[in-house]
Amino acid sequence: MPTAPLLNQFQYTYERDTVTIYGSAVTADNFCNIASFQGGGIESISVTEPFVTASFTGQVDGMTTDVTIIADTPGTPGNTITLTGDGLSDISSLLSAWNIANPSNTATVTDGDDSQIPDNLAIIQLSGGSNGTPGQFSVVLSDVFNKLLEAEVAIVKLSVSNTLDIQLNMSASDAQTAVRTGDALLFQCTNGGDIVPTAGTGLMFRIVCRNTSLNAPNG
Amino acid sequence: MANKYLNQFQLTYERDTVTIYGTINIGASGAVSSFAGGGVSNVVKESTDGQYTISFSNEFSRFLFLRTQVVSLTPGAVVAIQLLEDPSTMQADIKADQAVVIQCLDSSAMAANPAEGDQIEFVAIFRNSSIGPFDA
Repeated sequence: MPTAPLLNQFQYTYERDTVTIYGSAVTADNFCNIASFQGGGIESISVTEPFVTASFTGQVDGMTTDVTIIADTPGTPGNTITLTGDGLSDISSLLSAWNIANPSNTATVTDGDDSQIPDNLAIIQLSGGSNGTPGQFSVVLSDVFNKLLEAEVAIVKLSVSNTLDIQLNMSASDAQTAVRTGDALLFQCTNGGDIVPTAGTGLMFRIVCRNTSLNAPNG
Repeated sequence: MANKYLNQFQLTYERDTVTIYGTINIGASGAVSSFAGGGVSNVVKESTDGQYTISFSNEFSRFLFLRTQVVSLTPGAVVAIQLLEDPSTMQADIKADQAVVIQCLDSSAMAANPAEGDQIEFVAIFRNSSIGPFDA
């Protein structure tokens, strides 16, 4: 065991039966999905509401079988991906033209025959993309406690992070209810407004709860 | 002891935790004019604005948490302090050199020096035991 002389064993607090939970997580991508997490007392850490990727599955006039087209980037921009038939170009050509014109908002045919030729003015419109709750993630504890005393998150990254702060994103009463019922504590990444942390951002948690129902006396 | 209602036992899932309380007094241009704290061996100002390396006196098994805040009579440029470490290698890095790097940031997430006369307070928490059933 590493040695550290002069350490003191006893630490005092006005609160009774406090429990401190240490945990960490790392973001997997630029959409706040969590790659991994660890920590005694932590049941899960996950993005509260993931980004959803826009898609199209079906057929339009001129087609005979379904095709599935999925946006390459999750989120609402995929909802603007529109292929308009001209009666001459197949789906592959239409999609290639869109991708060249919109390099930051591309899509891919993942299923079906993309050699089909939609009728003139037939429209293939991707939809269903959403940004979820940008930069918000949920932490569920393994146990229930009587009171939440402290919830803090430190940001860890080798370069300067786009995230300045991570705040507990719920009312005080809801946070207290969450630790009593086992519901999730919600944390929001912010730089003055909601921000989604970039891939590879480390998060270190310190959550302190009180096990007993006895309040600390004043004075 | 001043108050008879203090409670001695604090529970945690981690074994043999060690809490280090430290302060960094800031001089001109963000320089370290002095530092203090049991378990803190050195604090060095790096060439980048608002960047400091905090070195600890002892090696521990695992780094659990770092809390920082700026103490100042007036609101200053620094609005956040980030741990400037690679999350994927942080535990090994800190164990090897017993040091962490912090970066002070302004509201635009740019490096910024705390003002002269300010103080950075930090609380570093380590685990002394090598037993870590919850380690990833």
